[in-house]
Amino acid sequence: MGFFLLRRAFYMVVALIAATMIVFGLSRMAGDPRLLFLTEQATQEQWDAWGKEMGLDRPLVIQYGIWMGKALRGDLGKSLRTGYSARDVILQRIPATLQLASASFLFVLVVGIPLGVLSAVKRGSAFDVIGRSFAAFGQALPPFWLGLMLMLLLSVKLGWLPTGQRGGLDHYIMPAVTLGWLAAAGMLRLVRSAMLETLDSEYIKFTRAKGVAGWTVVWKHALRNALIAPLTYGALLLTAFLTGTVVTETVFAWPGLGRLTVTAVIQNDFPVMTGAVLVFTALYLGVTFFLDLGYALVDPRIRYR
Amino acid sequence: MSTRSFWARLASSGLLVGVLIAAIACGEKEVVVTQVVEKSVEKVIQQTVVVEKEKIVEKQVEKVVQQTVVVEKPVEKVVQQTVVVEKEKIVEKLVVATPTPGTAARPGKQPEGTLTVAMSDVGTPLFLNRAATWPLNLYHTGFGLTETLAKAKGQGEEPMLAEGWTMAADQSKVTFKIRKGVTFAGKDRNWGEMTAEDVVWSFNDAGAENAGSKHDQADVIGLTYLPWKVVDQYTVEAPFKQFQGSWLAQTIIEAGGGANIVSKKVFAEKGDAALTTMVGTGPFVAEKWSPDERLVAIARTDHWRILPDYRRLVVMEAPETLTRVAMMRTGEAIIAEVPLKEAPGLKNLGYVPDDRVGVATGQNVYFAGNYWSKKDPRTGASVTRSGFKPDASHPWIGDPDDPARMESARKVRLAMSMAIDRKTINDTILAGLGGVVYIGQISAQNPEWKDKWKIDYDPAGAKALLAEAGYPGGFSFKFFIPPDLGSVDPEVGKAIASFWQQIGLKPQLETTSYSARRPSMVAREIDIPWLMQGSDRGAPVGGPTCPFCFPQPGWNGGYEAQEFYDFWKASSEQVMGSPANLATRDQFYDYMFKWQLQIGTVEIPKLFVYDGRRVASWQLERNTQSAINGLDSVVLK
Repeated sequence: MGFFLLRRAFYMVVALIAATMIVFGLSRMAGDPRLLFLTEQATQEQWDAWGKEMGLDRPLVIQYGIWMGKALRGDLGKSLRTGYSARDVILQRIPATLQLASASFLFVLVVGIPLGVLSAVKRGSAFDVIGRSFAAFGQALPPFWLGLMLMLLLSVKLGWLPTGQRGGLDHYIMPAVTLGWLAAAGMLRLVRSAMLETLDSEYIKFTRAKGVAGWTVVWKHALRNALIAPLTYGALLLTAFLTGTVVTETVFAWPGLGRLTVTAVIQNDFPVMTGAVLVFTALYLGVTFFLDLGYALVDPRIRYR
Repeated sequence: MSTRSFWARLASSGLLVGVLIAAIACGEKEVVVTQVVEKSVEKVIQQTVVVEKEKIVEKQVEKVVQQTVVVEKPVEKVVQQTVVVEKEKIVEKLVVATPTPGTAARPGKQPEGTLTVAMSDVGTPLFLNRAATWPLNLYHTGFGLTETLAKAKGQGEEPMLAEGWTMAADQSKVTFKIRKGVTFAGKDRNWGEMTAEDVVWSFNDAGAENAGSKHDQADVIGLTYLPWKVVDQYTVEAPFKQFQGSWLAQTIIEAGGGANIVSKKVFAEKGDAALTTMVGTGPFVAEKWSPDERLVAIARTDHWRILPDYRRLVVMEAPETLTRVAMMRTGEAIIAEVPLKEAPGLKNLGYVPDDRVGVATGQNVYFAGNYWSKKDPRTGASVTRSGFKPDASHPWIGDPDDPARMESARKVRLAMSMAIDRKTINDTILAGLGGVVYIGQISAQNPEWKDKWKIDYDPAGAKALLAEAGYPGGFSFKFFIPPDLGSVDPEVGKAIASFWQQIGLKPQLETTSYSARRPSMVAREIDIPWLMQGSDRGAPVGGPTCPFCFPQPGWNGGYEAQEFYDFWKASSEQVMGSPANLATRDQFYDYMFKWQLQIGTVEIPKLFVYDGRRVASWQLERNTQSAINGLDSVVLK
C-alpha cells in the first residue's frame, strides 16, 4: 500500500507538470497578451515596458522555466488585468467554490442515493415513478434555464428565497439544486441499476433466507456492494462541481473559480489561467487518488500492490 | 497501478485541459457652482466671433507677433493665427468656478439606510493608478470611493479636487490649484490632507512618468504630458509633451477615464500593497470589496463636498441580466444596470429607466482590410499590411493606387450601407428605444450631426450600385460578429446580415471570441467586415478625431489612411468645441461619409433602472465610458 501511495504521488506530480506545460504553451499560442491589453494609442515604449515586466522578451522555454520555478515557491505571477497576485486571486475564490460544490454534492447524495435505492427496492411502485420522473426532469432541464425558472418562482413570485450571491443557508438552496439536479438524476439511475443487479444476486437471496431484516439487507449488504460505480461517479461529480460550475455561478452571481477561469481565458490573463488550471488538475488528481483508496475501503476484495 | 493507468491519468489531465481550451474557442443635493468668471469667458467668445471680421483680425495678428509667434506665413494664413489667439484668450481666462460643498441628505438628517445596486461587474479594488485597467478604473469614482480633479457636468466640466486651473499662454503647461481641506480616508484611519504631492504621484504613476502603466488612459496621458511637478503644497504643474485640445475630457475628468487621485502616503507606507489598500477622498469609504461579489461602503460624514443621504452602499455583482432584473423585482436592488430590452417590462412594473448617463453605443460595421497608408504617419517609415488585399475576394477593399478599384470598393461599401433598414432593426430588436446611426464616429442624435451624412434605406439603389461596382450577382464574404463583447449585440449583426442577403450578398457569420480575433487587429491582418461599437451620442461636442490614426503597436479596427492622422493632429491641437475644431470635425465626417469605411446601423442606449418608489432623486451625469456615477447624490424616500 505504501509503495502504491508513493507511486501515485509521483504520477500526480508528473501529470501536474505536464498539465502546466500544455496550458502554458496553449496560453501563449493564443497570442501575446499585450495584443489584448494595449489600446489604440499604445506606443512602442509601452509595448517594450510591458514585455519586460511580463518577461515576454525571453524565449518561451525560459518563460516557462521561470514561471515553474516561481510556481514551486507559491508565486503564480500577477494578474494582467488587476495586478493582483494570481495565487491570492485563486485562493480567494476557493471558499465560494467549495461551498457551492459541497452543497450541491450533498444534494446529490441526499436525493440521488435514497431515491435510487427506493426505486430499486420498490420497483414499479409510486417511489419508482417519482424517482424516475425526478431523473428524467433532471436530465432534460438545462441548468441555465432551471436556475432562472427557480429564481422566477421562488424569489420573484413567492419571495421565499434570495435571488443569488453568497449569504445564509437560504442562499445555497437554489444554486445547489440547479447544479445538483442533473447530477442527482445520474446518481439515482446508477444506484437504481446497481441495486437491482445486486438485489438479484445469490448472496442477497441467501441473506434474506437466513432471516436478516429486509432493510438491513438493502442498506448494509446490497448497497455497499452496489456502491462501486456510484462512488466513481460521485468522485467525478465532485471534481466537476469544483471546476465546471460557471453557468450556475453566473446565474446566481456566485464568485467562484469557474467564472474566474472563464474570465481569465477570455482576457488571456495567463497567470490566473495557468494557476487555475494547476488548481483544477491538482483537485482532479487528488479526488481520483482518494477514490482509489475508497475502492479498497468499500470493497475489501480490491487491494493494491 | 500500472504505466497504463499513468497514461490514462495523464490523458485525463489532458482532457481536462482540452475541455478548458475548447471553452476558450468558444436634487436636493446640489452642487452650487459659483460662476465667478463666466462673464469673462463669454466676452472672450464674443471676441472670438468678431475676430472673423478683417479689422479685428489685423489687431489680433499684431498681438501675436508681439508675443511669441513669428509670423512668416503668407497673408492667407492669418485665419490660422487668429485661431491661436482664440485659444490663448480662452485659456488664459479659464479659471474655473468653485463648487460650493453641498449635501445630499435632507436638512437635519444624518445618513441612514442602505442603497443596494446590482451591476454586471462590481470591479476590483485598484488603488494604484498603474494597475487601473479599463473598465475597472471607472468603478472607484463611480461608487464614490475616489475623486478626480474635475468631473463632467452637462456638456462641460466642473472642478472637483482642483479648485481651478490656468493654461499657459503658449499652451506648454496647465497649472492646477488643488483644493484645501480634502482628506484621504480608509476603513480604519484617516490618511491626512490631500496635497499637490498626491496629485503629482497619481498622474505620474498613471502614465505621465510610467511607461509600464496599465491605466486605461496611460497611452493618452503618456502622449499628452511630461512628468507632473509640485509647485507648492496646493499647486501642481502639468507640462504638455504634446498639447491635446481634449486634455481635460480625456485625462482629467472621471467621465473620460481620468486618473483617480490616490494617496502617495499610502504607497510610501504600504508599497505595492497600496493597490488593495482602500483609501480615497470620495464620500464613501470601502468597508469590504470582494471582486466578482460585492462592495460594501460606508458614507463619510466629514466629506468636503457632500453628505450622502444613506449610510451604507452595497453594490452586488450579478453578471446575468435576468438575475439583475429579478433583484430589482424582489427589492434586493434599488438601482440596477439593465439592458435596453428589459426596460419596457420594468417600466410597466413601475421602475424608472434612466439614460442620463448619455451613452448610446453604436453598432457599426468596420470594413477591415482598407489599409491605405503606405507609411507610418509619425515616423514616415514604410509599412506593409498583410490584411491589405484589394482583390476579387475582397470587393470592399479599395486601393489608393488604383482609382477605379478605389471607386468600385467605395460603391460596394455604400451599397452595403444603403441595404440596411436601420429603423426596422431599431423597432424590432431594440423595441424602438434605440436610435439610428449612419456613419462611423458620429451618432445621428449627436449635436454635431448634420443630415448631409444620412443614408436612406434603398435596397434597389444598393443593388444598382453593386452592379455598377461589378458585382451584379453579389459576392460571398465572412462577417465577424463578436459574440462576447458586451458592447456588441449579435442580434443586430444577424439582422444586418439578413438585409445584405436581400440584395444578393452572401455573408457567412463568423462568431469567434473577440479576444481570439483582437491580435489580428493589432497586427493589421483582419480583412473582413465586422461589427463593433462605434459612434456615441453621449460624446461631448468637439474634440479630436481618431479612427485608427495611430501606428502599431496600437489597436486598429481594420482601416488606415494618412488623412486620419492628419485630421487627428489638426483637431487635437484645437480647443475642444471651438469653431475651428468643429470645422475640422465637419470635414472629417464628410470624409467618413464619402468613403464609408465604418458604417453605422443602430445605437443602444445605456440604461440604469431605479425603483421610483424608493428613490426620490438621483443626479446621474453624462459619462462617455457609460459608467454608473452620482450614487452619492441618491436621496432615498
